Parts: sequence; C-alpha cells; structure tokens
Amino acid sequence: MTDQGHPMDGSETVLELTGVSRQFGAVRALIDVSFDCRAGEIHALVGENGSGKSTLLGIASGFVEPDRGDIRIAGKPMRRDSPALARRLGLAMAYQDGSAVGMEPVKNNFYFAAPPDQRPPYWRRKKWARRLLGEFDLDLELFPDVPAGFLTLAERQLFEVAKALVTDPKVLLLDEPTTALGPDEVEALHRTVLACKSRGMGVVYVSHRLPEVLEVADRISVLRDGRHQGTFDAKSTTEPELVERIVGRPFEAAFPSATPRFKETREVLVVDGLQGQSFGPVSFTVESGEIVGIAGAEGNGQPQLFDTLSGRTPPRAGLVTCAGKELTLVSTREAVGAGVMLLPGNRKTEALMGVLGVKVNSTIQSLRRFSFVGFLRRRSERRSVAELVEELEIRTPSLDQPVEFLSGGNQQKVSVSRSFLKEPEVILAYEPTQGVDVGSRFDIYRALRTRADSGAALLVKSSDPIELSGLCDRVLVMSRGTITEEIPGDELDEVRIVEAIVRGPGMSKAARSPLGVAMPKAPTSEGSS
Amino acid sequence: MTGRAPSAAVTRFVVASRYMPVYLALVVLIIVASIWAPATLGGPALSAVATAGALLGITALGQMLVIMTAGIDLSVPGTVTIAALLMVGVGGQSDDRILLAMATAIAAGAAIGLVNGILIGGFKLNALIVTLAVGQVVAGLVSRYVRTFPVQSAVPKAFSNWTATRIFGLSPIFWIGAAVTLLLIVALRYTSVGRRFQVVGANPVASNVVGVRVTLNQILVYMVAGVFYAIAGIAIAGQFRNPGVNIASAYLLGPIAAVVIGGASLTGGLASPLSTFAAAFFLTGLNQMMRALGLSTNLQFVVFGLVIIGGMLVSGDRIIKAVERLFRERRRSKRPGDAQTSMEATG
Repeated sequence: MTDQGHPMDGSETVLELTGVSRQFGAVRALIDVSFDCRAGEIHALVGENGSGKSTLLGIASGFVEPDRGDIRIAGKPMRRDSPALARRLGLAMAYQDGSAVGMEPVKNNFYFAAPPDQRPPYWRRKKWARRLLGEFDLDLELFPDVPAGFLTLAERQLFEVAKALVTDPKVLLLDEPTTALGPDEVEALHRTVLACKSRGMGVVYVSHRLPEVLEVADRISVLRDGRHQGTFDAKSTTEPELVERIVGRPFEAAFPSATPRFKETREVLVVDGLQGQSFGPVSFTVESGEIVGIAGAEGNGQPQLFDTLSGRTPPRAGLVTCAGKELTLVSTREAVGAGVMLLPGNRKTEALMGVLGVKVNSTIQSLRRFSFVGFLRRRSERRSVAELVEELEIRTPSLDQPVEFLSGGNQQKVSVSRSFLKEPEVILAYEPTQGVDVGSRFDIYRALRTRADSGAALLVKSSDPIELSGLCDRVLVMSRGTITEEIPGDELDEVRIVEAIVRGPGMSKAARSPLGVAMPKAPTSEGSS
Repeated sequence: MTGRAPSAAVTRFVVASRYMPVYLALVVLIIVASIWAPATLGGPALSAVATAGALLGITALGQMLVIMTAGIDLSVPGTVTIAALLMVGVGGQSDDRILLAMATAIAAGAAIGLVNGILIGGFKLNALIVTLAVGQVVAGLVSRYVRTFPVQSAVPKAFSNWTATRIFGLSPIFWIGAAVTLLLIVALRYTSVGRRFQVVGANPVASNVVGVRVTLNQILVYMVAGVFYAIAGIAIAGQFRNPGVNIASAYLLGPIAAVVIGGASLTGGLASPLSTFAAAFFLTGLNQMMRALGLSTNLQFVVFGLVIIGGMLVSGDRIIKAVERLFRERRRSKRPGDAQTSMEATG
C-alpha cells in the first residue's frame, strides 16, 4: 500500500518503524504503520488531528509503548520504550507544547539538554549557549540568562528546535514546529532544517500546513485514522492530491437535520474584537437557533477562546454580549448567570463530579428550579432527570450511579443534560464527542440540535471536519489565534474545511504577544492537577 | 468506550460499601468486649462512652465537612481549648453570663474558621500547614489568656450541673451530638446548600465551570467546622468544670481517625455523617475497653494508632478502588483481541 522498498541509494536509514500498532482504550490510534526516514532527508508526516501523528512521534521518541512493531534508530533496535535510550541512540524531538523548564534560564536549558559528554564546563555555559544559538541560525537572539518561561510563544517554539539540536542528533523530530511562527520565522526555521539535512541529519517534520510542508520536504507520508495512506515524493505531488489523501473517502455519518429555523432570529452571542491569551482579536456573532462550528488545527487559540467566553480566563480586550447583556467575563458565575453554558472537553476534570450520581451532576445548574426555601424537591428532581435520561438515552442503571462508572458517551450526555434543565442562551461545546463511542454520537448531535431548535445559540469546537460539516450551520476557521475564514452553510463539506485548515494563512502580528514580551502559555485547564 | 456499566445493585453496593466497615467494626467491638471485658458494657461505662463518643463525634463531624472539600483541619485542639476556656473566662462563675460565654465561644470558633478558610479557600494555601499554624497561634493565645484567670476558676455552676443531668439516661452532650448528626444528614441530603457543598468537594474545577461559588463554600466550611469544635469545647468545659490548656490534645488525631474509619473519601465529596458519628463511638468504645482490660497507657496509644492504620486500609477509597479494578479487569478480558497479524514490511 505504500512505496516500501525505497531504492538503496547509499544513504543510511536513521529512523525506521515497522508494523507499529497502538490502541488507547477503544481507540486504535495506529494500525500497522511503517515509516522510515533516511539520513539527509526531510520526511514530512501529515494528517488531521487524531490521525495518529502524535502517537507515531511518541512511539519513535520512546514515550509511548507500541502494542506491536519494531523501532530502529540509526540502525540500532530500541528494545524498550525509553526516551533516554532513544536520545542516546541519536534521536531528538522538538515538542509542540515545549519542554523547556520555564524557571531556568536559556543557558541551563541548553546545558541539561546536551548529553553529558558534550557539555562545556559549567561556568562556561553562557558563552557556549550564545555560540550555539548563533550556529543554529534560527534568527533567535536570546540572552542566555533569560528564563525560558519569559520567551514569546514564537521564541519558545524555535528554542524548542534549538534545544533538540544541542544533542547533535542523527534524526530530528519536529512536532508542528510552526504553529506560533510568523512567515519570517518559518523561513528561518526552514533554513535551519535544510542546513541540518545537508549535514546528513534525518528530519521528520510533522505539520498540518501543507504549503510549508511542500516547500521543505523530500517525501510526504499521510496518516488517516491511524493508517498509513501512502508516501509521496514532494516534487511530484500537489496540494489537492494530498488533501484528498488526508480526508479520504467520505464515509457515512448520521447527523440530525436542522428543522426549519424560526421566522425571526436574533443575535444572541455577539463577540467584538475579543482578545485573550494567545488568541484574538476575533469578532463573530451567533444567532439563536444556530450552530456555529469552530475549526482549526490544535494550538491555534481555540481552547483559550472558549475559556475566555465562559469566564474562566479574563480577556485582554474586546466586547462580548449575550442576549443584549454585556459580559465582563471575570468569573464563570457571571457568565453562567447571563446564560452562557460551557460543556468542557475534558469531562472528567472540568465537567463532571465523578464520585457523585447522575442526578446530582445533571441538576447542579438548576437547583433553584428544584428547591423550595432551600429544601430540595427531590421527587420533582428525580422525575425531571428520569425523563431526560430517557430522552437522551443515557444508559445508566440508576439515577444515583456515580458518573465515573458510565461510558464516555453517557458521561457526555449527562453533561449535555444540564442544558436541558437550565436552558441557557448560549452553549459552548468543546469537542462534544471526544472519546464518545459512535453509537452515542448521534444522540449528542441530536441533543445539541434540539437545544438550537428551542432557541439557544451554539458554538461548537471540533477537530473532526466531518462532525463540523454535518452538525453545524456554518463554520469559522481559526488559525494562529484569529478567524481566517468563514465557511457558509451551503459550501460546508469536509474537504472544504480541511482545505481551509491546511492552507494555513500568514500569521497576523496581533496574534502574537503585542508587547513583545512573553506570556507563559495559557493553561487550558486551570487547577486540573 | 463501550464498556458495559455495572448493574444498579452492584453500584448501590459499591457506593454503600465505603461506609460498611465501621458498622462491622462496631459489632465486632461489642462482641469482643462482651467476652473479654464485660465491664465495658456496664451502665456507668456506657454512659461515659456516650458522652466522650459524642464529644469526639461533634469534632469529627466538623473535620468531616473539611475533609469533604479535600482539606484537613489541624486547628481542632486549639479551637476546642479556647472555647472551653472562654466558658470559664467570660462566664466568670456567674450563672447570668452562661449564654454570653457560649456566644463568645462559638464566635471564637467561627473566627478561627474564618481565618483558616480565607487562607485556604481565598489564598489557596495548603490546608495542612495553615491549620497547623493557626492552631499553634491559638494555643499560644490560650496559654496567655489562661494566666489572667484566678486559680481554680470554673465554669458557671448552673452550666456544669446541666451537663451532669441525664436525659433518657444519657448526658445532654450525647443528645447534642445526635442532633448535630441529624442536622448534617438533613442538610447534605435535603437542601440545595448541602448539594452545592458536596459538588464543590467532589470537583472544585468543574464546580467553577458550572458557576458554583467555590471559594465561598471553602471559606464557609472552615467556619462551620470551627463552630462545631466550639460546641465540643463548651461541652467539655461543662463536663470538666475547670478545664486546663491541655484538655483537647486528644482531638488532633481522633476526629481525623473517625472520619477516615467512617469511610470518607480523602479526595473530597463523599462522606456520611452517620458513619462518622458511629466511628467516633467505635474509637471511644475501643479506648474504654482497653482501659477496662487494664492496658498501660503507652500500649493504648499503640493499639489506637494501629486501629487507625487498619481502618484506613479497609475503608473508603481503597474499597472503591479495589472494586473498580475488578470491573476494569473484567472489561479488559472481554475486549476482543486484535486478530490482525501485521505484515512485516521488508525493505
């Protein structure tokens, strides 16, 4: 199925994965994938979110144990999964999230990244770090004494690459290295990567931005749904061809049809010039009865946008009104009171009280409705929840079943059921079907559509283009923190969304730190640990 | 994840199982006592256990509320002592001042709780260290305060006489403890305040997302707990007439032990007032039995400590975890194996 058996042109294979599979719970992240990278080659790996790119990198770098398959680094087999061993064998990786120790200055981060035998004397590390930064030619002018946490997002991303290069690896893995970079910085990065290639290093370049990939890569491999979709020569392939491979054949997925909208719609959620940590400015409106999708590759400000809209992290600038009321967005309580309901993506830590029952979880936002002078009207509460359990087809043995014992799909339904009892103006659904079995997905789509039909305005962030095209009335595409494209309903389909995502338009300056100083990356889940 | 959820009966058992061990232990204790130390079950001994158990129970219920928010309170001895001594100091041996003294003691308990709550809920400091430090401050203030008393000063006569009366054969202190337990059962099960409080304890992050006032709940819980400790302190003062500064040293570990043996989850959200109260009686009864058996005080400490460790081994989270593991393993063994054989790609 792939062009295995590449010509033996004398160049040695520096990374070789053979028949690698890995399953997480019920999700098969990788299915029998083989991948190799030769010395002096840039081998790009592309695919949608969740196609298995990260798992593949995790396995190659020794962080993830494969269920089966072999890994060879520079010809030597990696028998046990150990990041330290992978590094010793000559592999280095630049992580998307960054792996620098924020409190430590740049020079120390470099020092500890280097293998012990390549470290300079400890007191000379400052000079050494400065020399290395010059050698890497990343246009990265940093004071070696600056703590890594003070770097801007773009600087961090380049620093991550520099830190990987300190080990002078035989194979370099780059995980989405350009998500925070502007055009000039991308150019600098590519210059460095090409220099590494000419020195005989093998580079695995993971990205969803096809133009960048086509510019720099020698070969391009496509992953979809955990399967290898083929490896292509970068010179003889085109962007549409790759998009087709990334998207694959359309397969049947059921979505509830939008019932005819009301005669009169009103703008419920109005976002004007909203700016927050690592996103913005964004402006859009959502009308009552409408489901608006948010598309985009991971790490382009979507979680931060949702956190700000729900009052979890305060905005830097901009105006948000919900049903005519202006929101200050300084507390979740205020947002909830104004009628904004967040359905968080991380159900376990941010949405549900796992040890408590279905009923308690379901009615927590509508206790006023079920109480009389502070005392709960338990019978009416039970009745309402029982009805909802039936309507949403929540499979639970009892209303007091701790939700941690439910399956992912049923947990999500419990979370969604809150919006049926409280009837908010705006529902922010973040990855509503992540970790949800196929059977329950339709129930969740139907539940969300029901809310829209009864007048709520929905904003749905999803990394699944099929889901977005099937569920939403229109889709906004986010890239580098801003909305780069709006896809109207009549143009909506999976290919159209994927194209918009992979086109990866240039970065607006505003999306980066406006002060030129750096904000530590916004945690998406406050206090989750 | 399509793993089938366990049946209703199984879940009900799992949920209830965390509170079982304490009742079993209580039954075992009564059987053992009736064989080896029948004196423990005699009238006067039982009456003493009822009073001491209720005192431990009231403090344990305060501690339980704190532990339900995944916190811990080590300022119990300090709060109990200051409440007891305020009964002496403010009471001034005058029967007219009993209510004033009680109000002062309760206000002091609430104030200490407020300080704890603001530091822990508001400033997000570590509960263990904050309450230990606050308890230390209170203990220092107490020993200074006690020097202002005339020698051998006691609580007002009418008050100590009242605590010595018997209602249905038991001390009023026991009935106060029972009333507090009942109050908590009702509050947690039947009121929206109790419901929100439970939710905050189970998952503060998610509670914030749904718009529940997490910080306010966390501050209030330490205040309510402080009031409970103060009630216990007042009762102790009545019982001992002239309480000293070391009167409450047993209330550092005792309440925590009762909460843990009562099956509370140390990660928050789950606890039962009734089983906590029962655990307080178990611990008090055990103490009484050891005394009846004539164990030396040193050995009593050893046994007491071992029982707490044993209680932690069999109660609460560990039981749930074990049952959970059982389900997970069953699910894993059921999952259809990956029958695909990988075609080894040859280069």
